[in-house]
Amino acid sequence: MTNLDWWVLFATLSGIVLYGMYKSRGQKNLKGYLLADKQLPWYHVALSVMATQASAITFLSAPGQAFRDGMSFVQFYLGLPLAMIFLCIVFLPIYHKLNVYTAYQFLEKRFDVKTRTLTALLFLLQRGLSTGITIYAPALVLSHILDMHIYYAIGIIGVAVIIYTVYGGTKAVSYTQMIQMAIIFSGLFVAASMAVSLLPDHIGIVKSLKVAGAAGRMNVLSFDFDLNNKYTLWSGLLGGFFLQLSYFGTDQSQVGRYLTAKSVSESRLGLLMNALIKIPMQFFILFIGILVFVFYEINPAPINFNKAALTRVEQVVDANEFSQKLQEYHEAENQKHNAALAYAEALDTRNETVIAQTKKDYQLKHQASQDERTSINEYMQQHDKQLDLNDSNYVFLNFVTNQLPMGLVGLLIAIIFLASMGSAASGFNSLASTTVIDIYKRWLNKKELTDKEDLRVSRLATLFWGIFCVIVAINASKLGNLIEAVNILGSLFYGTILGIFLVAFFIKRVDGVQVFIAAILAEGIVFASYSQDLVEYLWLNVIGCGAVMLISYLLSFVIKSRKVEAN
Amino acid sequence: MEQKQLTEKKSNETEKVPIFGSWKGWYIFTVCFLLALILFFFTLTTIFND
Repeated sequence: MTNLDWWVLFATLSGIVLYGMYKSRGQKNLKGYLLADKQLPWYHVALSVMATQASAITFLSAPGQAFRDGMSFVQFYLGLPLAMIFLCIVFLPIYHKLNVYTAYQFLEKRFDVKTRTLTALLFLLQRGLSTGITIYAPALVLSHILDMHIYYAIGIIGVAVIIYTVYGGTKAVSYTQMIQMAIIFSGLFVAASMAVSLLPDHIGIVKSLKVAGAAGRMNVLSFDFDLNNKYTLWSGLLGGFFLQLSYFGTDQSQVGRYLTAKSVSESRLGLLMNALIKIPMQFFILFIGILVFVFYEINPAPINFNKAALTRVEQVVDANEFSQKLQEYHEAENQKHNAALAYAEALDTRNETVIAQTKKDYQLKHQASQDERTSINEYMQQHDKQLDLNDSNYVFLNFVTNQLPMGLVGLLIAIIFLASMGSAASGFNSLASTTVIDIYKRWLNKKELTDKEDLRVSRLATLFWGIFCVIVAINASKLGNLIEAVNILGSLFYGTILGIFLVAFFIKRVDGVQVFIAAILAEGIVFASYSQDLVEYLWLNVIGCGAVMLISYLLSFVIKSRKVEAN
Repeated sequence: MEQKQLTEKKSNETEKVPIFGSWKGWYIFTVCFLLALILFFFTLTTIFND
């Protein structure tokens, strides 16, 4: 990082925070603080829901995931457009009609207070943990760049986001997210064009994709119907549909975004824009990872992209032995680079035999280099038990800081911060909304509060959750690929929560007691399926949701409904 | 209650929906867009992946 990068980073972040504070000044009551007075237009809704979902993890982990495992992760989002349509038809009109602050208020109207409280508590647990991880991700950046301990980095980010969120409420969150997304989109285009320009002149995008494909990285779509295959068309469409429906329909961090719209139409249009933009955006981010992959197929790649871990290991291993191993790795890398270039050049000859031969040779050299890398990383781990073999979170960062020109490094780092601020702010805000509306005002203090007291309680709740999330972030370093960790965590709870809502909408004969018991049993089934490793995590959403619906329906025949009794 | 719902339905029907004129049009467009993306991903996988 040069001085210019630091200035770009500082100016971008402070500009955003000041803008958010300026736009949200003069908060007067709970509606203003938690719902932005319900005055925002559709484009605010669209950008706000996107910024909430696209955390720093998206920009750190996704390119690294494409680098290590290919493009298959894009299938995770295939259910999103269908979920948005379902949301627009079923959920949205009811939320607007009931004029709720949180999604869980609806459950008390439909069932009873214990179902509302159980769902709110499941949300608080899941979102509190997930938001902690979204703070941890950019802290990783800071510690990497400033060479500081990760705990200090988490503290700095956490405090900055807490101050900004506690002051501004929903309005500040929404206004800053709009600017954040504009900067993020521009930064991504710059990163992609830089990655293309760093490729040799004779290797364009098509040849890059051929090289990536030969190494198995262009696995965009899989029709494989295997429950243990993480990303396929079917798991994306079905599992993804349930996960996204649950996330956007029942997670207050998203519901709170589109409840700020002026009308149902504005919310609807915002959500449909998200349906159209999200998959191409995610594809583009993964595509940047592929370009980075091709760059390192023809340029030297470090043995482990986590520089700090590498330095730590170098101090404890036998220097001669390690140097010898690195020498062998570099030789394997050189052979791979030559083979990749030979294959790319062979593509010009249009001679099928030459192309097939050079491709086979590249695939062998690529595998040999991978094997060498894995073997050395395992050797390193024997000397440093803390070393994480999965360095995918560091790949994009390493590329940005070492390959991009000055000024741009600052901008790209700022993007990662902005993304994190956007999603963490939504997280704090929604955790505070649910705590105040569904727990505090419903259970702890039922008397009417003044506007000033409402604001004070909301700000205190935001502060509490900010501190909670910082503590989670401190303990998040052992979770492997961060984007998957967040999604796995969501999948453990979202299916059950969605099941409760779908029963509320579609199975009229089920009442509060039946759905409450079904939800507890379903959560047990989900945890058992996960701990026994029965299916890949996206299917947990289907299992949780299906279990709640089926069990509550069956229970409605066994346990007498209060409605029936009343009749 | 029924009267209220009827009025609301009427107001939803008469509201001006941008570009496609109705929300149904938007939903159909979104599904077609998704299908086009899946076709694009299929083509990419077929051409480039080994």
